Amino acid sequence: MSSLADLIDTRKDTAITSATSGLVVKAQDFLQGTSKIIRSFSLLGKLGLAVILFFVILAVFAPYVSVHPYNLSSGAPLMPPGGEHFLGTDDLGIDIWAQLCRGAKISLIVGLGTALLAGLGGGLIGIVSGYVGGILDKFLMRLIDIMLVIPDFPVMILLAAFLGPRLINIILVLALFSWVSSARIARSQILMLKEKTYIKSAELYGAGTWYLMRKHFLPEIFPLIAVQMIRLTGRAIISEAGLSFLGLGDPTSKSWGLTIHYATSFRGIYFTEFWKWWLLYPWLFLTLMVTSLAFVSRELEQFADPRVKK
Amino acid sequence: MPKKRSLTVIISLIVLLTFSCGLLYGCKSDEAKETSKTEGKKTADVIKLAGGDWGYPTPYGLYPRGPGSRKMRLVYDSLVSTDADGKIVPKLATEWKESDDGLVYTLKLRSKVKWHDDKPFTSDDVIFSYEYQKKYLPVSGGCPDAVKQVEAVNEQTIKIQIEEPDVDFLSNLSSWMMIPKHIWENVTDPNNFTTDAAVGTGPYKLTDYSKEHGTYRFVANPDFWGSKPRVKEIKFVPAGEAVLAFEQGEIDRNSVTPDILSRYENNPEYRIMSYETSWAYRLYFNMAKRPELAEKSFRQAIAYAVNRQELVDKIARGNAVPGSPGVLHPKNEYYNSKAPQYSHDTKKAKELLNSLGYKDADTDGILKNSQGERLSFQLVCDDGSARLAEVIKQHLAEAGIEVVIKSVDMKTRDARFKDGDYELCINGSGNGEDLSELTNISGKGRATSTTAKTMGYNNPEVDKLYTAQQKEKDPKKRKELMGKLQQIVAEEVPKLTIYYTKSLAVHRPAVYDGWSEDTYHSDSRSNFVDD
Repeated sequence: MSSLADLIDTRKDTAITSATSGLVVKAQDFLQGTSKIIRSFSLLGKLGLAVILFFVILAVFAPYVSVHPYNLSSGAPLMPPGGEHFLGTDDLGIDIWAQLCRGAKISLIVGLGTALLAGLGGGLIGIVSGYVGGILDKFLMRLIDIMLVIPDFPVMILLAAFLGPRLINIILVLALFSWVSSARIARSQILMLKEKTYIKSAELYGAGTWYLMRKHFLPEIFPLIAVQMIRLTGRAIISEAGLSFLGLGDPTSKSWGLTIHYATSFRGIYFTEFWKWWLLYPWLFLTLMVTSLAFVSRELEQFADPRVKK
Repeated sequence: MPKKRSLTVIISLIVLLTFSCGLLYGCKSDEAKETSKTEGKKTADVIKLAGGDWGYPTPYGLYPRGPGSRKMRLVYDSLVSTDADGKIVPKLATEWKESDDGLVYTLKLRSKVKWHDDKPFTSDDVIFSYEYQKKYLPVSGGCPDAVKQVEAVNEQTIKIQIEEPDVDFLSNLSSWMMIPKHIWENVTDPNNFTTDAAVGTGPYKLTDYSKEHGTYRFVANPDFWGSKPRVKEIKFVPAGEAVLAFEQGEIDRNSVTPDILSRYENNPEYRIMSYETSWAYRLYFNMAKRPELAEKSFRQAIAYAVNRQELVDKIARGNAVPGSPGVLHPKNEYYNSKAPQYSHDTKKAKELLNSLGYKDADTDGILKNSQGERLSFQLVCDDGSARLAEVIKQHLAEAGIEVVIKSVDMKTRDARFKDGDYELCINGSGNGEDLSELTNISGKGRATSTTAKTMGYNNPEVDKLYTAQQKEKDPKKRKELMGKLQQIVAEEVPKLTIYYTKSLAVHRPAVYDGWSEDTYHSDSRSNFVDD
């Protein structure tokens, strides 16, 4: 976002070339479009967006938002919220707020990383499969069928345990099981699009695959894939938390799931009052984040999917 | 349409929230309404305890940790055993005599003892147990290595010859289980012999075992040679959340943490028993794998850097005794209070490391050797000690040593520990002093303990002192030798004892009140039967 602001600033100060002005106009269009979309959101959608924004800020400015380190003891163990540690401390005396800020970063990295990888990868596979057709399409569709039948979470557990608990592995494993839906959506759209007369005529005039993809296919299916990606983000965050909760996450990552894992492994935590901060806050953060993502993706659906339109 | 849907979402969220809160709190109000004034019951029909898979309860099928051995001991007997004070007590042997040179023991076997399948127990079975367990080593324990020959004098008397005198010989016999000849004779793969194999002479018969569910069912043996078992049936059942399972009566005894003790205090329905144990977490140094660790002052630096009191406060929630570098528990009769203690001193630790040539030239907090390599170690621990490892990592980081934690499940950790596949390792074990694992003398052969060779530690003086104290019959002189041994061990810290746990157990006296004061293990045989 800051680079866009820079661009606008530059326009004010110096003489500009037409190329940059084109970019700026595009950026302005984009901003205007985005704000229009946001304005059309329902209250819940706006709230969801605000919560997501809050977490993004938390993640980016984690070291500044929390005074205490996220990986070192900074107080007495299991201090209740209030005072210096305003969300309390865990059994080792590590500040919960600092851990949650760090966790926001991990969750976003995992969520966005998976969504980008799975959404774009899956979308591309879908386009190719739909447009090329034939044997390749048959092969890819059967592959997708297989992926759909495989229960993903058990296999994820297996793979996470096998590959070792590193953040990049978690992202890869999650992406491996998430591309299917984007691919199917993309393919079905392409199958419909390629029979449209304007595509047929473009083809007649000699438009190549790449040209068609760039000019017609991608713009048409991007909104659908974008909604799918936001959904995937939520799913990936939950799955990462699930894997961490089971003790298969990256033990150094301090993700929300890991905080929950340590809290629930504390013997008899539900019979003490410690869960009121050690377990409740990471759970609350996780729930808020995922619910907000769901709200936003639902709002966006209205623009992408004509069936949901008012 | 969307407005309605969002409303539904919000309402369902609220309902879910209140429901989950209700679940968490709800259990509190249901309990503790009835407070029976009945005196504790000394017998019971069924006792249920938290399960878990600890292997098939034969000397060959069990998992070599306490819970596995204790379940096996419900079924099998040794010739003699030791009581809580270390006194030798009769089991399948009723009398024993030692020859003057201490090399031959004559044991008289108990008469009219029957195996669970009604066949009589005779000296033949003892000899078979010796020969078979020599051929196939049991997973833990077994006949002491010192035994040279076992022969039958008659059907009720046996003679054991040993290599050299050993004061602990009779107490070592307590880990040698008698197995029936008619069952095992033709078994060539004892570790996988798990169909109707659990036939012993002990007070309980195994009637059910499920590896997958971690459940066991033991039923009292009506023909048991000792006194009548006080509990007719012992069941090990799955218990997810043990506190909840206990309060709902799904299990009859539970070990608890100090944090939840207030739920049971001043409530006549419950009785709390507390124990000081010699079960300890220890930090092991693999000197064979990392030569840096072979340097005595390096290990001393680590001993200074690790704040054992803080570990007691944080990890054990105060319910433990900080470890003594001399390995022995301060309440052990042979404890040497004068051995070095290494009170927490990060500065001293740093000085020691600096004097070894480790410097932090680029001031990133991690020390480097003369080649500029970072001082970094991998610490292997199990899930249960992951938090312990986390704090140790912080302590060592303060002294300039980087620790990378590798947390694995317990069985993997045990296997890696046994094979020496670690640099630093946290392992915990109970039962006695464990100084033998610092020697190269083959000891009791417990599968979860290590040897000096595996650790890359070698001090002939330790071996010599250990052997000498084993032979010493005079308790005063033995204490002196043990004192010397602890002095050396504490000075060299080949392993660092982190803390000795204390144990708190809660039960309902109205259900069963026969729990032993001597052992904190709820599955221990002494809770259910007087031999």
